[in-house]
Amino acid sequence: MFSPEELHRYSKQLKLPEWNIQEQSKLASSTILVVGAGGLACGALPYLVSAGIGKIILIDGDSIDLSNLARQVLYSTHEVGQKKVKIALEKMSKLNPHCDLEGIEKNLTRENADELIAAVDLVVDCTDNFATRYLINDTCLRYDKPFVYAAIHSWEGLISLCNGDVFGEDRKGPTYRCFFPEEPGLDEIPNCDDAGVLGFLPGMMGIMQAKEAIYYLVAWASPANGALGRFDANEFSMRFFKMNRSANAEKFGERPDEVNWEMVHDVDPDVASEWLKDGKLDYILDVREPEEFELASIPGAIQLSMGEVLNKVSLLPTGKKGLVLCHHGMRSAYVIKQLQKHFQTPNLFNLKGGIDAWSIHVDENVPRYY
Amino acid sequence: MSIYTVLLFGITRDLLKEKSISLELTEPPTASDLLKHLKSSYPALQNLPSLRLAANHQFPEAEDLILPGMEIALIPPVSGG
Repeated sequence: MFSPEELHRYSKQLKLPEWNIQEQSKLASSTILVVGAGGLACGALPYLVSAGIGKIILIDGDSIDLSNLARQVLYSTHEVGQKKVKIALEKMSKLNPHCDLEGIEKNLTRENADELIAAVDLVVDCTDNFATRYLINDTCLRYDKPFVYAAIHSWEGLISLCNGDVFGEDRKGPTYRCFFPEEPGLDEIPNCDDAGVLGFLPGMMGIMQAKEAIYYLVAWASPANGALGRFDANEFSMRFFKMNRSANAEKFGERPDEVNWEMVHDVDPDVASEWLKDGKLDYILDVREPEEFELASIPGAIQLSMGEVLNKVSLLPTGKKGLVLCHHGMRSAYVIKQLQKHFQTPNLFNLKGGIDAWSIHVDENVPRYY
Repeated sequence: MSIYTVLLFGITRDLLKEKSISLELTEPPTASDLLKHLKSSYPALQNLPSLRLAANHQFPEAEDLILPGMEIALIPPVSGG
């Protein structure tokens, strides 16, 4: 039951013929997770909080930087250096004391995503990086949770209600991986810091996310549910691109702990050579020392010695198929285990017998050394 | 010969410095062939393995035919927030 104060507070939305106590009650009994407290969240949060959602959990480990202020309008100049979550919660709790707010001053990671996402009705993806977006996607799949994706590039934004029931169409909507199956490589798509942005765009996209979250929580249909929407600020246009859920969408929800990160996949030199010829290898990582690399190497290989590779993981293309090698296959097996364990790097293959076996079985022009 | 106009979104717009591109084709291509054709005609697109092609406000299946007159768009993923 709503108090007289609440009925007064929500009286303008309750005036809408379509929005009744039933809708208001659905919001009040909902719990959502907002991931990220940056430009998108600064648009989304005030409208989620003020509309009357029962509980909102906000997670972000970042602190406020001066360069955030031109778009992250929840924060003020004198708050630079403070945690975003702390300041956002202070302001939002004043906006609507009926919203139960919880802040987590950490980033969403593989360690905490399951517990957080399993406990909510819907996730709002306000992050700024692909790694977290794919983590949200895969975890939402595992627990059958809908999430509202949005992201921006320069003068345009994308938005979609992913992994939800498409109301009125009797189908399950696509996941983010149905649109974009693989996480893009590090150098493929620039982020805000590189591409630049004017503050209103993430603000507008964030408000659209709030709209999609509210519609979904009260089970209303929307063109952004089951399709990818693209807003163009220059043309002031909105286009939607419909997508069917992929037949193999579910496999990305498989539990990460079913993956054995201790396991090293060996590949014989002749098979690796076929992969290389057929373009099936995205990169080759050679973990020997520079002086060994000079003696003998496979053309095109990235040389990062065993001692430095863990500090330079960002140089490796994420999600791509990689062949890792050393002299005889021992150091490379160790590096693979470390990369898998600490960075969950997938698709790594150990060249069995190392460069020495490569010289013997594949390319005798690669000199052997001892 | 039919002329196909392709709208460019996201980073493809920055890479090709155009809002749209046109190409002439003798036969209607499949969605996957059209994407391959675009990548070979515009090498700047080759470093975008995640790039998707949409036609008539849908994401087509790889083998679907893309017919003249359809609104075609190249959509890369975006991540900024």
